[in-house]
Amino acid sequence: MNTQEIASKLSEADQHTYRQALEAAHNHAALSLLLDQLTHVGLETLDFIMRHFGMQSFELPQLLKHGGASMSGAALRVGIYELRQRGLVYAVRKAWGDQLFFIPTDLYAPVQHLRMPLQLQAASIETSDLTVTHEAGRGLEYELFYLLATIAKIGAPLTAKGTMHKKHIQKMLSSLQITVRDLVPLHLQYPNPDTLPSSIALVLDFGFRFGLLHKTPEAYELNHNMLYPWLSQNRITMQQRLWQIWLTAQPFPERWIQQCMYAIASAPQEQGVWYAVRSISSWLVMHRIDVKSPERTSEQDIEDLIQVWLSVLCTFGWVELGTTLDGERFFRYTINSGLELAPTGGAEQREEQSTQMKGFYVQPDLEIIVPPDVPFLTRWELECCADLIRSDQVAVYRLTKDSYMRAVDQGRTLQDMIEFLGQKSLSDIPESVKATLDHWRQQYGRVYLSEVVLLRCVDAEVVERIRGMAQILPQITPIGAYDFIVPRDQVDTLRSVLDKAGVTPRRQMESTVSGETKIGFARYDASVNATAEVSAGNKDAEGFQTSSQGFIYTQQTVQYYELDISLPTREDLFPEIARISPMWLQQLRAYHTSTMTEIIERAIAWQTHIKLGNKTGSIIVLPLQVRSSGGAWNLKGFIVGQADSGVQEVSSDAWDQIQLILPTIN
Amino acid sequence: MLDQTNRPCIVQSDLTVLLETEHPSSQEAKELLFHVAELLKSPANIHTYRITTLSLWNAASAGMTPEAVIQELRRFAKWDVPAKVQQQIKLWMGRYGSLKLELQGEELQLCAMNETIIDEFIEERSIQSYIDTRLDAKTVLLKGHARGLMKQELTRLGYPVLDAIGFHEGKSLPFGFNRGRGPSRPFALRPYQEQAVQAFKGEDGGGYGGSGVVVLPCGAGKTVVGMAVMEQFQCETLILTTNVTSVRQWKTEIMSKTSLTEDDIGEYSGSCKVVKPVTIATYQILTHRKQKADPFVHMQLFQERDWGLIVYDEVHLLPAPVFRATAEIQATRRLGLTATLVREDGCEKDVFSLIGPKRYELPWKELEQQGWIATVNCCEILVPLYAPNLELYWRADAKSKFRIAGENPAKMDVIRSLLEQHEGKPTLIIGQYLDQLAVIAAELQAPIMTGTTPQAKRQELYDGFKRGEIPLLVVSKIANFAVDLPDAAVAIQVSGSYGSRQEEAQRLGRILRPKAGDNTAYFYTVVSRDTKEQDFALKRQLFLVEQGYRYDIRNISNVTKEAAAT
Repeated sequence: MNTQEIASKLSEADQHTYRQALEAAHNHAALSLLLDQLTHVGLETLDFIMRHFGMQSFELPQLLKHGGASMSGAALRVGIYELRQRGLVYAVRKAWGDQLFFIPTDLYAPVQHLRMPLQLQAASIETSDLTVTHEAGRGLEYELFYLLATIAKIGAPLTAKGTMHKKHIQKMLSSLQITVRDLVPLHLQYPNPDTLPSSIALVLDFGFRFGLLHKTPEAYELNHNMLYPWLSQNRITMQQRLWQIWLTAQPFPERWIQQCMYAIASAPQEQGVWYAVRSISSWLVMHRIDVKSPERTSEQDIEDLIQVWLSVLCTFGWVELGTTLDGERFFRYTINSGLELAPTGGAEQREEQSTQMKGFYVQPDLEIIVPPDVPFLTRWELECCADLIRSDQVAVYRLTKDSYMRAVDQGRTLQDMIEFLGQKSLSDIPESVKATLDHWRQQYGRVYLSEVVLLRCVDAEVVERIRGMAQILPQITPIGAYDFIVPRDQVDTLRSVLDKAGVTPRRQMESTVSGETKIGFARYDASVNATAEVSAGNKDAEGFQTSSQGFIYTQQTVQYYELDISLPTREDLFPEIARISPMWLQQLRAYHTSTMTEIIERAIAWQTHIKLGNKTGSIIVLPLQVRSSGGAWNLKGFIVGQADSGVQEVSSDAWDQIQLILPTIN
Repeated sequence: MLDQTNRPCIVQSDLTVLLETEHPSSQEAKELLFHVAELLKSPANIHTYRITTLSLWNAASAGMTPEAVIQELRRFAKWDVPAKVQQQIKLWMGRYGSLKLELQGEELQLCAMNETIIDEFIEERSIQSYIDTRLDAKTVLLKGHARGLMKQELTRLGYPVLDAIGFHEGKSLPFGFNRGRGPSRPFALRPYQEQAVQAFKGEDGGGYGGSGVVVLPCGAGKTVVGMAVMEQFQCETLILTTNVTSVRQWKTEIMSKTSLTEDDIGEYSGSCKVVKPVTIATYQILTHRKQKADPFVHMQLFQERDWGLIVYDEVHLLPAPVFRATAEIQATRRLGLTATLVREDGCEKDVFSLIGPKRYELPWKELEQQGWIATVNCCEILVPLYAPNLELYWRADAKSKFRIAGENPAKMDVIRSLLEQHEGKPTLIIGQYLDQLAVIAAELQAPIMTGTTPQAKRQELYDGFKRGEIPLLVVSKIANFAVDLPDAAVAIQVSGSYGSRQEEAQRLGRILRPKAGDNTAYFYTVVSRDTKEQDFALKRQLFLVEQGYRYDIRNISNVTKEAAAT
């Protein structure tokens, strides 16, 4: 769940309470300030959560289980309290009342970056000494684009069992460059994996998460309203949105891999510079991130696994991998993730880009050469009226008779196509191309079959009455002696007018005419009309919403539960605190052995520290177990500052003073 | 990723290279691509090249290293050269020179530069029958006859073989060019012809030159290049070409431009089989046999004399049996000549391995810019199909539809208008259907030449046309290849063979020879509008469009059909 989704579940007053945190997800300065305001316990708890759970949600007992010498249970409970109060950690309440805690998905990356920054060391080698072993793919944005275009062309109908047809799967597969093999490390789980290749599932998942697709019982359908803002974005924005949503949606098999992926996305990055893969494994060690596994025994194993995941990023088009002659492995960014900087200045950048003419070349042999900077909205129209031949650094389309027919079927006219090509072409459209299009116009689309709504009259008298009402009726066209063609969008108005005129039509239509299809290329006039070109700074594009509901099963479950913003009381954190003597907390002093035992037992129950003293000094202990007999006590626990020595024994023989220590509730 | 968007090239991961022709450094980039890639098409704005094994081996044979190729591509590339492309360049060029054919005494040996390369292909079934013994990790003893076959097969497998055995000189034939003594103007090689000859010879004439292909457009003087190569090597020569007319034209050219006389030149064809120090034969006679099971008896021509050079004219049409025979004469120098090194049967690699690598190529438009061939205005004239042919067309099957459209009688009016417009200019009317051509010839009272026209009559018509006595000649598809009609300035194509791009290019080639005055020729293709013929016309024009030619479109409206040429 991200901060936007959380905000949508909060009352206005609560939104105000958490305003600082909700803003911090998109403002690094605000987040830094927020972290500066945390107590030592709050910060330690935050680090502790990140180290042991990362972005995964957790229950309090799981958290406390990881505590021990480094963090007492009391400190963790108080820390959680403070983090929730500050809006850095949220809770949902499960069916039986258990709470599930989590860091919002969009806050996690900047928090991890500020608390555990990955400092990448640029390689001090010549680029020529390095061989690229895994090149960046064409980019997820293109994979998604071509899959959506395929659905626009052929649809994605579902069988009675809810699976896609083989023919459609094959078409979709051929539109993708990502392969099933590329995605093996992801271990994706999704519906019908026996019939649906993981590459399609992954790309469909992005379509669903961005709301570009939705499912009906009959088909996966395009959401034309969302497609427009999506296609209006520039490529960089698309890439960044895809990278960010992948980080939150991908079910990582191990938590530390997710943390690595976040660290890579958040690290200060310079495009084209090679960084050592080893610096990532060193980062894991430096921040004591738990990578233990029976299968892995060496740092080399960890590096190998990181390399496998970097290969996935290569497939997505975000990084490239290379190696030196002596086998050292490096990677470099091909795009910026957008997570490494506050997104200020982005608007100006996009604005600047949108003012440049970004067109294609129409060649006399009917090929259209499309440079990489051509906007996606233009490409979408090209998908409608031309066939893609190659998708590479430069895409090549070809105008064919089939593509012309498709465009006509999608409502384009010859004039539309010539205008579109003329506006977007960097050179004149060759006359031969215009002539060929005109030749195809002669052959296709000049006649068509149409299912129309008819207003049918049963007798000549009512025909006359209706003709007499021509002034007040919507425009209807007489056809034959007893019928009129009614514009489909005027049916309701016509009903109402006829009803008022005393000629009420029957309630049911005679037979159902086919409804609007959800496949196809919607007409985005902006793509035809250059002056109306929508830049990526468009409000719709900026306000692009994402959904936690995708196609692939994720580990995130918090979105299904009710948000719980109620904070525990002091009594909840430390049960029966009102019943203990305040002196226990205030002063280090001698008590009777039985009282000292009682204080130690209380500390054990609250998982908090005690301070033990004598005439010469004091120690702080986290007691785990206590025994008393014959007026003496003996405890086992961790002595603060000697945690490396493990559990030690301490007895009343050496210590005659005690104080109960509770972490400060901020 | 390296981003130098102000540069002229885009290197795609499928090994194609796009070149922006309007870019200030496009000429420099073009020179590089000329050496490392093959030009696929050159319409305005963007030219498309492809890096192939052959182009890289050609680059390697010219002394370029893979590192240099990559570095040079980077110099012109907008975005970094894809790693996959770099790897392919290194792999393919790395193989060049690592296998050599040598003679050790009488033994034919394949020698490798490193120990692993032979292991990569030694298990291939297709080469087993050529191998005698593997002598060691780096040497294989081949069977005596396998020199050409082994080269051919290894090339197919992606391993080029340097043939270091060299060529035998053949029997000496001293002769020279008639410089300054030609019938019209002093004869001298054009600069590009000189370059082509030097490229064929190789750097020092004795290196790995001496076999290969020269690619030049129709009318650019391929015959002259062939003669110049003969003159360089001064040896007895066998010339293979496509038909008897072409045989005669070679003979005439040689006699008019060199000191060789009729006594030195033999014609070897169906009607005449004379073997002389220079012998010109047709592919047809070489592959002639009475029955399918019979041997090709005329193939012995390859051994008839001690040839020092074999010239393969129109090498893109070389028939398979001649390929096989060529595999056995690898000690002889071989020159291939063509306008389009594109074979419909995909045998380009056989041309590389058996004839030799592409040694020289010059795009059509470049020659046009330099004035060596005529500037051609291409025009497609769309003519309506009228009743009753229109009704016939609607009811006909696909094959008949094409013919009905091709023979559209309404084309006659357009032809007349065009002839009026270009009155006085030597004109060819070229068509597919003999009936149609006969009608046109009769109506225009022009001579007609078809496959059944006797050779002597053909020669008479050609000569009359050349002398200007016959201003209009109606020809069937026999004029598609190797016909030298230096004065034709206008070609009107009235029908053709479906979507054949090669036919369209060859027909245009008939009028490419430089013209007096504005050096301009006119190529018209008359097509029935809104018919199958128009669909096929689009395909036919692709090759020329890719070469940078533009077709103007004229529409003859139903009402004013007479206004064809206005």
